[in-house]
Amino acid sequence: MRYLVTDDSKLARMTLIKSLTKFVDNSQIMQATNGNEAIDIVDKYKPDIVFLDLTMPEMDGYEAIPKILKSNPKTKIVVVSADIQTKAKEMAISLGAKLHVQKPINSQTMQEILELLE
Amino acid sequence: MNLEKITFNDDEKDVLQELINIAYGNATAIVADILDAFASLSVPIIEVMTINELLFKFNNFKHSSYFFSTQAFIGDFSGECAFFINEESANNLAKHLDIDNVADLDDAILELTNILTSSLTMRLAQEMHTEVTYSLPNISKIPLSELSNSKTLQYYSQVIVIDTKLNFKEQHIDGQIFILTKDGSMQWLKKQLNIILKSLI
Amino acid sequence: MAQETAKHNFEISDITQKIIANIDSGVLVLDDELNIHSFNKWLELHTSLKEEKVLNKKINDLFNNINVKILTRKIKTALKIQTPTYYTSNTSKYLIPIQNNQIGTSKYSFMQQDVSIIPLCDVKKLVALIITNKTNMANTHALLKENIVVVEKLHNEVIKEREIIDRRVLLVKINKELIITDASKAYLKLSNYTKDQLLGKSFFSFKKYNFSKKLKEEIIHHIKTQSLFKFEYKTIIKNAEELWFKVTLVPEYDINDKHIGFLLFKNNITASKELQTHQEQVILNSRFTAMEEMINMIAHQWRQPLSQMSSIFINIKLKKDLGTLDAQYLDNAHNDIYNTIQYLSTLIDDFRGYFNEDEYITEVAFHNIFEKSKIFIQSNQKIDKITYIQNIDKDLKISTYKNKLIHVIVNIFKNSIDAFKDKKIKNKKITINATKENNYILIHIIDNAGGIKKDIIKKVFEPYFSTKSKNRTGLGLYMSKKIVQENLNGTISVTSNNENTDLLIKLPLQL
Ligand SMILES: [Mg+2]
Repeated sequence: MRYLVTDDSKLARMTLIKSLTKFVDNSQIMQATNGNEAIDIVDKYKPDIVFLDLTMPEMDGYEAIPKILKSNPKTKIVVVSADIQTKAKEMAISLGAKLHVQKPINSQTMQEILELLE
Repeated sequence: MNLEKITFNDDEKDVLQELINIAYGNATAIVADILDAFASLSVPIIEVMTINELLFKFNNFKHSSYFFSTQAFIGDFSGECAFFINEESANNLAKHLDIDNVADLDDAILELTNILTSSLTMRLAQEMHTEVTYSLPNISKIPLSELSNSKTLQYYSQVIVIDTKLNFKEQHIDGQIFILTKDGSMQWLKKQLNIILKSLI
Repeated sequence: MAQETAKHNFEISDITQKIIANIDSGVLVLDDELNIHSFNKWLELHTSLKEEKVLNKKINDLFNNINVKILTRKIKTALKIQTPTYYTSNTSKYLIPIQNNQIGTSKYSFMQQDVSIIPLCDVKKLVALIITNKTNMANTHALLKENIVVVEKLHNEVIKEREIIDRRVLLVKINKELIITDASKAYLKLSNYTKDQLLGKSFFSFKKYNFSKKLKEEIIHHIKTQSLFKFEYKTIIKNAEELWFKVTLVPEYDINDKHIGFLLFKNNITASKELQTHQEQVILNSRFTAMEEMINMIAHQWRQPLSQMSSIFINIKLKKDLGTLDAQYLDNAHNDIYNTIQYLSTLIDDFRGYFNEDEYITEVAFHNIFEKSKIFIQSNQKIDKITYIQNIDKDLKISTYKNKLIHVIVNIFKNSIDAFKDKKIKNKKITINATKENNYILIHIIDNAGGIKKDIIKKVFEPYFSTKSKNRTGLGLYMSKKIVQENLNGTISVTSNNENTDLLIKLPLQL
């Protein structure tokens, strides 16, 4: 299994990775800081799960979701965002994301996410 | 008063930015729910500046008719939230809140300020493992022309200015929020940001 | 406090209950449908409603002024964000109508309130409303607002006033170091300088002022002593025009009475200076006229003795031709001629003295002055048939500028003579009375030329430049007054009726 963590914030990536490493090996985790980078990595490494922030410079999450899915339709996208507006959740899901989770993620939430995606 | 200029390195800025992002996402969701509208979020801009630089920045708002309201928050992390909204946006806001007379427009702005600033700072404090309370009467509207005379602003020597935008595109409501913190709080904030950083390594 | 906890929909401790009962604020617990769950003693006292009567009733059914929509929204918001929301008296005025029973003048008939809405229980959707009395604050605020209007009005008036001063008053400000710190628009306009050219310059080194050494010393003295000082000076402005300024130097103090510099109020007196020069010219001209008159008088005075001498010479020639010239006759003729020449010589001395400026104070018998004065008007005396009556003590003496006093008396005589002209008065007379009173001499010169009209009498000492005027309004009396006051240290006044005019001169016996 390969995991991609996409967020413009280093803190957000570190927080997410910290809870993720409780369940998977560090070597399975890749990082991207915006939509463009995420698509490049998806093209090359076809990660199974992509954690995706919504608010990012250059290419935001909304724009990245369909492009990631186009590159690898099997990829499961988990939107991890501070934007918890109902409409933001609906939009992410309608674009093809499997889940929308509120930031920041702790280990318990991570466990639930991984179980749901199995 | 500590006149030494406090600076934030990239990591510290990143942490603060992300914490604001989370807090602001929370605040926006509440406002969006109340207004039954959708706000587009943007990346907050963080700057440390002198009070004169800040007043100069505020000055840019004077070109059109703006409302300016503030609410103070108190705790380990204390300071003031300032909210700018132009007249057109304020009118649109009033429409959404079913407010039909001019006198209540002030109330609408104050209410929005209250919701935004208290949910924003409360969540921010929570993320930094502390608590804040709000001084009740400090929610007020100050005419922009008198801003430079504001006694509260004079208490600051340097401020962290966290500049975020409130933007309800469809409803044509947009405003700008500044979280201003004083010297003592800045030291505390810097310390706290580093604690958070270390806990992740 | 006999309130039963059972009535409430929630737990409440005894201490909290006591505090809530006695606090000087309204404490109200509502749910998000506006049902009342608690109503403290403060509210009971102010609304005359008992808690047991209002519990579980909707607040908007009790008070119909409440905006249900807004209140509901605020409660829901407080519950949602889990922090207090507020009503402020700035905008919402009050939540619960409470008649204002304050003694004194209040601008509000209902208590102005601030309301904090504090989330209590998210499950039961309960919030506490803390109602505080803000009427005093609102009154102060309203009063302040009214006063701001007044102050603003005053402020605008002051600004307007300042603008007017700036535009109209010639003002230069200097600091304690005598550096020019400000100048009014009016001054800049007149002097043709820009502010930049003036400001920051030293007041004295600014060469345009061109003060004399003496004036500069005086100015420095007054600056040092911070005292008011008035002076005049002449300056030349950019287009080479000559201007006269009268300057008032006023020390300037700040609100703490600390001396900060000086204000120089300038008054452009060029016009009046020109007038003064004109007056001096007129006076000079009048002196020339007087001299001309004198020469005529001298000619007149000389005619008699000259013709007398001439006839003596003719007689000498005749007697010589006839061979009847003897030594006795020649001696007599010689004496006559000598005496006549002496007389002519004195006459010249008298006339010269009359115009002599560099005079000394001398002691003279006053009747002598009168006699001398008469000489100057003798020619008129004969033509106009005026009788001179004098009541002068022979021993009355005065120490003064003799010729100046003669000048004054002659002027007054001439004024009277002028008044007699064209008037058919039978017994024309000029009476002169001189008496001693303490250390003064009182001289009355009275004519019977018909008096002076009431509307003119006040003006007789003013300079009227038409010397041809026949109505006693020539320069004579003006000049007399000037001399009496400025040189002789005395006073001059006039009284008149239909017949007589009485000029009174009061002079010190010892000048
Ligand atoms: Mg982001």
